Amino acid sequence: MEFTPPEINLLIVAPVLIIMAAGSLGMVIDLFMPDGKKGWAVWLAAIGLLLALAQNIALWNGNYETFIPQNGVAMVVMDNFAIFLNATFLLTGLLVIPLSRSYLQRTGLEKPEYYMLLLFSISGMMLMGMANDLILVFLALEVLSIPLYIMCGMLWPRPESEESAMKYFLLGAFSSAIFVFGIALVYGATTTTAIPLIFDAVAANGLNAMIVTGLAFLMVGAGFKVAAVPFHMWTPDVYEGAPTPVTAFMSVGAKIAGFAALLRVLMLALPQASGEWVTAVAVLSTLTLIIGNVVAIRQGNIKRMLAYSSIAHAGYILIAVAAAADNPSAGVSSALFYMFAYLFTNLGAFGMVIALERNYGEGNLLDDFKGLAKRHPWLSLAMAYFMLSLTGIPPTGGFSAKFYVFGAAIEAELYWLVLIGVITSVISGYYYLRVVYLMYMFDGEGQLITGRALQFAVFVMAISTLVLGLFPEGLFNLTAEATLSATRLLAGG
Amino acid sequence: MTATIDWYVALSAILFTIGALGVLLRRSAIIVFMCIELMLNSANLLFVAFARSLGDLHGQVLVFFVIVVAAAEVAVGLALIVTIFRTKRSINIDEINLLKG
Amino acid sequence: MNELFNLAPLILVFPIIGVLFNGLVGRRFVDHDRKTGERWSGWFATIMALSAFVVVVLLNLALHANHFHAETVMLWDWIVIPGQGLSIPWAMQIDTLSVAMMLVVTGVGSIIHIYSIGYMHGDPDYSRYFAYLNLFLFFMLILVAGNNYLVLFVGWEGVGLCSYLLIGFWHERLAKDGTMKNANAARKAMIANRVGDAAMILGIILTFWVFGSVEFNHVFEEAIHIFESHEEMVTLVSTNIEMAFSTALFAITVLFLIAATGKSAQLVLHVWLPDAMAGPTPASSLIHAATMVTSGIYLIVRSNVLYELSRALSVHSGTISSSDIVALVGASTALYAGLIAFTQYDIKKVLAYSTVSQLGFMIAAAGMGAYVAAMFHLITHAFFKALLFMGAGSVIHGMEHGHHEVAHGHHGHDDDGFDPQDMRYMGGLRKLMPVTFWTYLVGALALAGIFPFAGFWSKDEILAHANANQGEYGLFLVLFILLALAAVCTAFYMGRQLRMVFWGQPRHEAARHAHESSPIMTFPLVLLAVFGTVAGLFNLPKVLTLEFGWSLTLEHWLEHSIQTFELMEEGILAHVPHTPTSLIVEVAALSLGLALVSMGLAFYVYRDKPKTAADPDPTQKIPGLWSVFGRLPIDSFYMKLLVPWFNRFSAWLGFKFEWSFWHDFFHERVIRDTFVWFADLSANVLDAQGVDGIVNGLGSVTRWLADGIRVSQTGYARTYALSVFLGTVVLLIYFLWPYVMR
Repeated sequence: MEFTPPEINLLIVAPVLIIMAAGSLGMVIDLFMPDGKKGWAVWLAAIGLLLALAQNIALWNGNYETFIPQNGVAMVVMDNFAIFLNATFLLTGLLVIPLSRSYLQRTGLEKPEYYMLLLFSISGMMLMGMANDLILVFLALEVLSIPLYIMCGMLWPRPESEESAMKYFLLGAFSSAIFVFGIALVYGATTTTAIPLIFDAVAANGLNAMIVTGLAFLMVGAGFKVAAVPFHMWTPDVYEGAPTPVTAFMSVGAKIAGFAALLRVLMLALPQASGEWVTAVAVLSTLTLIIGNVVAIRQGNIKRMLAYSSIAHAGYILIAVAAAADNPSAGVSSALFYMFAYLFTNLGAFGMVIALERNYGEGNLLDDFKGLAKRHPWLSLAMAYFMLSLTGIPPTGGFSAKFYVFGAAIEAELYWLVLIGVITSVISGYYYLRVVYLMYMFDGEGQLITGRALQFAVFVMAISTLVLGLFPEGLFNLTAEATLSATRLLAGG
Repeated sequence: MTATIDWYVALSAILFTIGALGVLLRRSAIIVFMCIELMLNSANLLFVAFARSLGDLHGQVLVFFVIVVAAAEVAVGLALIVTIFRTKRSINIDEINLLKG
Repeated sequence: MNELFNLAPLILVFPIIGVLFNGLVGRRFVDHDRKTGERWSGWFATIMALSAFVVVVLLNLALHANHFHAETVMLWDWIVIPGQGLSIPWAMQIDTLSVAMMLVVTGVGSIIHIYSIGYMHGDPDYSRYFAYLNLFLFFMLILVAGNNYLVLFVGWEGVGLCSYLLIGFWHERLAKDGTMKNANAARKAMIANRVGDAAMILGIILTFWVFGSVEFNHVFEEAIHIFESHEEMVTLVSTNIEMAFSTALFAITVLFLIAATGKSAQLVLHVWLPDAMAGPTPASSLIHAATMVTSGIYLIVRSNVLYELSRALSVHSGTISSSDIVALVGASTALYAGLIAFTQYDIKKVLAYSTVSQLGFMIAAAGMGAYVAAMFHLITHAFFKALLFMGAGSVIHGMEHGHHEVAHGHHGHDDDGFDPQDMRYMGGLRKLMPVTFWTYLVGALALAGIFPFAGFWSKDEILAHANANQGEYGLFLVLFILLALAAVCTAFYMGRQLRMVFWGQPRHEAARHAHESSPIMTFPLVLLAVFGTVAGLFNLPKVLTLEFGWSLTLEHWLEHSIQTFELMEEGILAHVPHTPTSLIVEVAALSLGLALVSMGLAFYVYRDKPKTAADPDPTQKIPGLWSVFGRLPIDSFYMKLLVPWFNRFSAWLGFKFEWSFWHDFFHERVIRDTFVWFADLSANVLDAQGVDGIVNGLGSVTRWLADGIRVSQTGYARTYALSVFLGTVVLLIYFLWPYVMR
């Protein structure tokens, strides 16, 4: 047994390196900066994210591979699929920063660590997108999760924040353990953790009990991150207790990363087991849709409501994953589209929640939205628009996304799943539009605390949602290319 | 009687189950956390056993990754538990239920 | 194709430029500086009309150079439905018929523009008037230039609009009894025309259905083709419906006749034209005498092929043909309107009824197959009737000025019901308004059919045609008698009018103070008087055997457009009435004699009556004339019977049917009460037992479900872990089940 160092090309992983370097640099700078100076961290993070985004986009269509060990299968791939996901994560970071600033000042949370942790978490997410090896998937999962545990608890000694962090940490670690046990089983069954080699092994020897057991454990791990029922129960509590910008970040970034893991496992490593997992995914999707949408109706706290809403949206993406079993290109690309559209809509909605929150935990009730339309007509209009998008009413990005997802599912002949998707969308209208109703039909005292950065970010997200609603073709073509590059790699491996 | 791979698999399955049941049943955050470590280590055992039986070095390398991750989790987890203890004077996870519904 | 034909679109471009100028900026010019503004507004419109006239003259030359062959100037595809074979171009047909009409429209139109500059002087809406006038030219030229029925219809509706706008030009002026006289007249015209227009569009649709096209040439070729092939049935385009060809042809031609009775004021839709005199007099003269009202005649002449085929088919079957109906309608109108004209005091109303009567002559001529005669009379009539109207306008103008002076001279002078248009207040204007008088005399003699004025020739040709075919067509004797009597009436009421207006003693102070109009108004009168005198030369018949170089110019000119059935041998030719090409001396002598006697009689009867404005009219002694025709029987029928009954029916529909029955009974009692009953049942009976659960079921079930699930969200991390664990177990069981079972 010899060990030869793998081939490494750092330029290819430069986007991740830039983020990690920016994070580490921030930590170091923080040591030498006087306590009063805090503004630099925002700029450092933003510049790091922008640089990484630029480098990331420059790699488009390159289909690079690196960290190639002696078995010849790269651990890190920079295909269009990875680049698309990376861009999603970087955009999430770039949009969360302007949403965070004034909230952090209000709650006394304005520390450079916040931004550094954000960067580290993003680096984990990006690794997830690029991972071509299950062990890297696991590492990425941890790299993105651990900073999130800390961020959730940053508002200590507020008990809700601590509780949120504790629950997230314990359950997150629990699911990680299950995930890694799944990896061990798959490794035992196929002698490898490299995704293309798992595929080859299954192609050569077929499925066995150990592989499908491993698959079940892997699905639980990823299902936990995306908050699929019944692995979702941490979500409302953690989302409610965490500082709102962190919630916003988690609800988008961590969820998309979870789906990246799920897609890697299901679509690239074990597509030949699709006969096994498609029903499981569809059932998970059904449960997720029903429970997420139904329970959201009875929530009086907007953060909790959005938590259930984020569970419900995981259900819609799971429809796309189920559709991918029969129809990989449409399924995967519609899932990518959905996540990208969801990014803008959900962050936009959270932007409003952040602006409404006077201090940590104050102004989070749905009733606090009453009468906002009179005092903040433009932002209320944006909020109403985000709610429409989350419901899936045209012309919004949310509608286009649902349209593609349902289209993919119909092509895959999952009619009952589409039916459930449509019915639960109707139910979701009830609680989303209630926010609009409260804003426009009542009088109230609620005030938004908005800075220019937040207004700008909300504006950008509203416009993006509108553009995705009106001209979804361009993005859909990108997602199709991303899907194509990932599956081509699969075929080549 | 030589220990075949099946024994190791069985052992780690048992360890994993013990760990999982511990998470479900114990109330002390520290013990719950230790149970999670047990689950991770059952996976490590599996890796090593498979690496040994398959004659593949990778599995043994993976164990290091898992140990590193576990160490990082310990660092964060213990810090969280300490903070909670400071606030609540308790690490009983059943007392941490402000957020529900 | 001669390049001059390419100028054809300009005849539409010039008027529309005028419309834009006067419609958009004309008013500012006028408001800014009255004198210069009027000059700009009026002359701009006039120059546009004259430019169009010049273009028409060039087109005329082009036709000469083209050996009178028709040319189609294609502008663009208008309505194209590929699958249905429907393709209607926007194209202009330049042939001798359309150019003849264009010459009249732009020629007389230009003269009337010039006259209007003076007549409308001082009117607050000076530029609006000229915008309307140019718009009218635009639509009228579309009407006569179109190469298919649909384009013609656009013009048809457009001139109808202009007519409405100009009749109601002074819509804010009220009658003495406070009614909105002018606005009502405009509406009356619109409504009467609507009836005809509805028939027109039905006719066009049927034309397309039967012939698969609405283009004149295609329709006529197809019609002749069907006729020659002796097909009895035709299949309607895009349908399976079969229809007898003779029936289809009859229906189309009768529908076009109804359209013509609307636009050309024939029985029984003529009622709007006398009221249309509420508009400015030059507009009356252009639209309601010379041009627009002749578009019905143009339509029939243009469709002559259809009417002749209808005649030929009915000769076969021995039934009455649509051409016969046309002729009868025209001749009856000619006599009927002529008789009504006896009873009118308003100088313009007399002329209006005279117009109706003369249009009747034209329609009758067209119905008899004398299309050239119809067009000939149309052209001469355009000149002398425009002349008469503008002369009447000049008289009214003079009377108004006279009245003005009188009113200034006698402060506090009580208004004695004076009306500047009422002939009873006139008299003796001969000396005060010499130019008007002489030109008016020419017009009146031409209208009465006195040799050698224009009307003599054209009217005589119609009478000769009726006379010449009496033997072959029994109906033509009736027509001849009706028309001859109408001609007698014409001479009589024109004699009455001349006598009452220009001779005798003034019967009102205003008439004493009337004076001649300005040269800008009298110059067009003189010009038109010249035409009114010599226009007969356009189609001079052979006298005995004498033939002049001038003879039958119009006949030769128009034979290129009006279908030449002569080209087709046996079958059709035999059934076409022939027009005598030489003067029938007996007929000419008879009509001239009757006219002279009738006019003389009028002068005798009105020699010194009425002496004052209050005197009764001498003709009131004739039994039945005033009691029947003086009461305008058809107007009365409409206004006293039809309109009240229509209103009553509407009221019944509105109050009884719609409100009492439909709303009160059906809606309130049947629907609402049933609904309330059902709702009560649901609410009090079913709902109490839990329909609430079904109706609001989804909502409450969802809520109940949500609350149930929320309970499981205990807040205990261990519960959550259990959920994960159980989920894992279920997944494992699901995945491993096949392996366990194996």
